[in-house]
Parts: sequence; structure tokens; C-alpha cells
Amino acid sequence: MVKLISSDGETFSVEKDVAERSILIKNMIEDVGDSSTEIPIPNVTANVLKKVLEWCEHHKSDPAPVSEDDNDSRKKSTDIDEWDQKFMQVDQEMLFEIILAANYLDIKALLEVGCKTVANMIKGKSPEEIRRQFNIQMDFTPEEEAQIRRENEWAEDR
Amino acid sequence: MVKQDKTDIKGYLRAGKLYQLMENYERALKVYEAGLRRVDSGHKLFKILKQMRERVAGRVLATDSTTSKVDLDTSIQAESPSRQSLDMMQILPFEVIEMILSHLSIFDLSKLQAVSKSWYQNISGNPQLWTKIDFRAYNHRFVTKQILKRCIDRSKGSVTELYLYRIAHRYQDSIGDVISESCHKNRLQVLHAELWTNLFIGNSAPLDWTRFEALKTLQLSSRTVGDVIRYMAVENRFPNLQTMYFYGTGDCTPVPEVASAIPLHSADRIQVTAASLINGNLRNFVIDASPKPIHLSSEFYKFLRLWPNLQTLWLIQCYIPLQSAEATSRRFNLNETNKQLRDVNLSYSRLETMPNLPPSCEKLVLRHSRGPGSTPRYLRVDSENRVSYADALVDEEPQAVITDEYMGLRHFDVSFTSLRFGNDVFRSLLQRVDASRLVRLDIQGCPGLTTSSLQDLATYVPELRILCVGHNSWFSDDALASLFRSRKLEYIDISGTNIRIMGLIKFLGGDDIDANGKRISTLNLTMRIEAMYTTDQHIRMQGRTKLVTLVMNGCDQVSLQSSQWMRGLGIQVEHELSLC
Repeated sequence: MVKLISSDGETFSVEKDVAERSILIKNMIEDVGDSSTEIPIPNVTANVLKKVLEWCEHHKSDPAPVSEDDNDSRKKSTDIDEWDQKFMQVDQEMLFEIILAANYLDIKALLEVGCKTVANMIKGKSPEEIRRQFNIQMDFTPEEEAQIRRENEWAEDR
Repeated sequence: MVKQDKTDIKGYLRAGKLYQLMENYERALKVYEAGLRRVDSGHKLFKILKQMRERVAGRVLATDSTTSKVDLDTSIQAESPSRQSLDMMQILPFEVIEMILSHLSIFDLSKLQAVSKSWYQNISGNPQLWTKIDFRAYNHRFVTKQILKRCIDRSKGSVTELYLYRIAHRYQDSIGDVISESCHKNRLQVLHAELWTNLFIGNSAPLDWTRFEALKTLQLSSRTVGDVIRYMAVENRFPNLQTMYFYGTGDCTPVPEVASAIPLHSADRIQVTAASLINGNLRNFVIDASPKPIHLSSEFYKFLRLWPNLQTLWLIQCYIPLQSAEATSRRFNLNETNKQLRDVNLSYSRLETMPNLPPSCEKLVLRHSRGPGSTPRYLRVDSENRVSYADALVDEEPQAVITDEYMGLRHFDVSFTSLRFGNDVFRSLLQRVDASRLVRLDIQGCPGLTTSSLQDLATYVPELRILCVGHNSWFSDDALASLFRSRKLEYIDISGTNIRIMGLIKFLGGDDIDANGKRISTLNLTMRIEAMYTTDQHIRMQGRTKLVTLVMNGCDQVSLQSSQWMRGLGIQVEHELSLC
């Protein structure tokens, strides 16, 4: 078992192979050579870490990704497996927290699922819909906006 | 030392920070120092890494590990979110934003530049997002030069995949220089532009093909095939090309004969310089000329010689000439020049003779192919097992149509060919394949065959697993029963035959036992039946659990109840809609 401590001080005990879905933690454990050490996770709060570990638990026996250059197949598909889709049904803030945690902890597959989820939320939407969805302030001058719109109106409805 | 991506500066920062938190300053120092050695000093975070190292170095020297923790205002904190906003451009680090946006099409990307300034900067300012430019989904209007230029310019010359469709006609002459100019980093690997017929033909400004050294896949109009092959073979362009597709574009302008479109300087030149022009990378060459046939000339054989590693050769709806008109070499030889061939498809083509294949070739498709002349030609086999035309025209030498054995074949398709042949020629064909290899045979629409041909299957090709035998009027209940001896069959397609359901039931067995006393139900069968008047009453066959799939198109009198019943037996029912 490995002990992980979230940024707000909560301790999580998980199996070694669950924790080692995170390359960062895996390297730490290998380096320290003693898996009983408590590992602080300074950037991740307890509620997010719990969620991330839930994912790691479910995916603990996934085969390692084949190679680094699977970039191509990754870009082509935004398909997400069913369990992951359910897992990602959280509010936007949590979704971004999970992505940040996955990025920080170096869990490539989770980061990928998170990015695909966000991409699917964005796909096919108009700029207005995006602004509404993510509560974004439009900071162009009217002239600037008009120009950008004009340049890209060809992409609007196809 | 910590194992990580040797050049990922953030990995060093994070690992070092973790050690600091664990108050293991010596290790943290080592991590930072390793990072400083390995990471490019031009990196934007390099300075921060240096600062961290100095800070920790001071800590180690002071050997005072009991004081309060170091201030951790690193870039990592800088990248952590300002929690009030949910704008991903504010919350997420650059590389994650890139990962998300890389899933979007150029349409989404173009539109979303208008969201806000930070979206505009992250989208328009990242060339990486614009490396794959795909207009295939753009059906709305024609792509204009301005649209194309804006997209390509965003990539800063490093487009890797370009799919051009529906280029407006008035731009066809001038768009070449936009692409040439914009692909100046020579990274383009995939170019699809089959509707863009002016690419080579005509006096328009052509592409600067020297910019396309990285090209691996090229898909163009079949009208350009002659010019492209010449560029490739004679001028040695596209050294890395692996796959070439030429598709018919449906326009009705005259298609040049490929021979005349290849202005070779002299017939010998290619042979003289062949060594330098050989392209060992080319694996796939496809011409699908439909709807308008393309005439290949015998020059084409010279080009085949330049592509020794060709694996796929599809010449669909082409007129394929003899290698030479001389009687001694009236051949279509692929077995000497292209010893890696695996997949040969000559569907809808006019063949002067059948191809000779290398032993590596696993698949030969001659669907809807034709013999020379405009009428159906009849094949016969003589006592020495030579196949030739039975109806040689007066001025023709008696011609051996098949001179080689087809030993490598695993899949042989002679469906709907206009070459007419009977059981004797069919048997001769079967004798030319390796009995342990052939697993799929397509003989749809072969009117010269009879039930006795099917009886030969068990003898000559006992390993056969897939048989497509539909659209034959001679196919009867008895013919079906004769397949019983082919024990390895898993899939039989009998669509378009007059088989009756009772024959099917008999074949599938149930309690029926065939003439040899064996139960048919050990067959692992997928049966395709099309347009049969099958009713519930007929379908109640006894439980054949090995029957896996029953495709029943057009069986509109079969109720849902029957389909449920079949599912209960473990039978998958495809096309359920047509069952209701």
C-alpha cells in the first residue's frame, strides 16, 4: 500500500499498482525505493484526488500504452469508453480539476479522456454558446469581433 | 535519479518540488541539476528551474532543514487556476489546451476564434492545430482561395495532411502556388485532391512538387495518373511515397490514354537510369477509373518494374494491355517484377489475358472483368491442363490465358466475369491453387458452372471457409446439399438464388441426417439469404447452436417472435429491421 497526502492534508491509502497509474508517483516510489513513505500531492485537493484514484482503481490493469507516437490515432477519435463517460459526468469545475490533476500527476490516459470530454463539449457550438457555457467575457471591440466573424463565416453552417 | 521524459522541464520542476515538500533537499537539488543539464536552455521555464536550484542549493548548504518550508512560487503555481472563472483558456496549461483543441476540426477552430481574445490567441497562434486541414466535410459551398490560404497560413508552413474538396473552379488554376508557398517546410505527408483535376493538366501554375518530399499518400483524379507517374518515375519525385490512389471523378471530359500522357524521352531511358529511379517505398497503387475507363499502355509495365515492393495493385475499370504483342510474351506478368504483391484487384477491367502472380499474392479479384473484344469469351482447358480461349478469332494465335499457378492465393474472386467457363476450366483453376491456403472463393454469377463444380470444392480446396455462390440460376437444393462435404465452411452467401426454405432446412440439418449419415449441425455456418419468401412456419428449424449469423434481407413475413426465438438459440440476426 502507498500513502498519498492531498494538499488539504487528507491521507489516502491505495494499492501500489493503483497509485502507479501516475507516472509521477511511480517514479517517486522507484526512486525512494520504499513504498511505505508518505507521498505529498501538493497540487490536488482531497475531493479531486479521491476521484482520480477512483479512475486509477478502475483502470489499474489496463495495458501500458504501446508507444509515444500514438498521437495520430488519438487525434482521430473522440470516442470515450462507457465507464469513462459516466466517470466524467461531473460539473465543469471538477472536470477541469481532474484534468489538471491528471496533467500534474502524469496520468496520460486520464488526461486524454478529460481532453476528449472537453472537446466533445465544444464541438459544433457557436462562439455565443461557448461563452454562455463557460461563462466567458467577450473582450473584443465590436470592430474586432465583426472582422473575425467575417473571416470565418464560411465555417459557420455547413 | 528520477526517471522521466528527459526533456520535459515540468517533470523536473514537479519532482524537485515534491522532494522539497518531503524536505529531502539533496534529492531536490539533484533533480534540478539534472534538469538544467538536459533541458534546452532556450525553454521558457529554464530560468525558473535555475532559480529553484539556487534556492535549494542554499537550503542544502545551510543544513538547516528544520526551518519553515521554502516559498513555492514556481511556474507550477503560476499555471494553477484562478478559480473564479471556468474559461479553460485561463485555467488550463498551454499543452493541455493544445490537446483539447487538437480534437477539433478546422471548422470548429475557425469559428471559435471569435469567442474571446484568449481563445483567438490560443487557436490562431498555435500552428500545431492547423497541421491537418481537412475540407472533406465541407459541403456547404466551394472552398475559396482565401479560405484555404487563411487555414494553411495558420500552420506556418508545416501542414502534414491536406484534404481538398470542392475547390471553386475559378481558383483551380491559381491555387497551386498557395499550397506550394504554404507547405514550404516540406512536411506534407498526405494530399487528397481528386476533384481538383487542373493540378497537372493544362497550363495553370502547377504545384512546386519539390516541396513534397515527405509525401506518403497521394490521392488524385484518375485523369492525372499519367502525369503523376511520369513526375514520379522519370523525374524521381516523391521519394517517400507509399500509397497512390487515382479515382475517377465522374466528369465526362475525355480521359487521355495513359501511354500518351507519359512523354518518355525514349523507351530505353527508363531502363538505363532505372536503378536511381526505383522507389522501394511504394506499397499501394490504385487506379479506380470508374465511371470512365482508362487505357493503360504497355509502357505501364516499365513503371511496375520501378516499384519492386508493391503490395497492393488495383486497376479497376482499366484496359490492361499485353506486355508485348509478340507471340512469345503475350503476358500480363507480375511475378517477375513485383515479388511482394499481396493484393491484386482487376475488377471491371478489360484483360487481354489473366495475370501471372508471384507466390506472395494472397488475393486476386476479377469481379466483372472482361476478356479482349466486346463479346463474352469462352475458356476451355486442353488435355495438358492449359486454359485458352475456345473461340479464338481468326487472326489470333491460340492463347494460353492462364500460364501460371496461383499457389499463394487465399482469396479468389471470379464473380460476374464475362469470361465464360465450365466445370472443366473451374476444376483446372482449383488445381492451380494451394489446397491448404485458399479460404475464400467468390463465384457469383458464373452461368457456366453446375452443381458438380461445388462437389469439386471438397476435393480440391478442403480448407475453404467462405463461399459466395449467389446469383447463379443453377444453384439448387441439391447444389446446397453438395456443399455438405466442405466441412470447414463457415459462411455461405446464397443471395439471389432460387433456393427454397425446405432445402435450407434440410441442409441445416436439425434431425436430418445426410446421405453419408453425418449430422450437418456441426457446421459453424453463417448463411446469407436474400429476398426469400420466408415465413414463421418455415423458419422453425430445430436447434442448431453452431449457426451464428442468419442474414435475412427481404424476409418480410418473419415476425419479431421468430427473431427472438433465433436469438434464444444463440443465432445473431442481422438486419433485424427487414424482419419486422
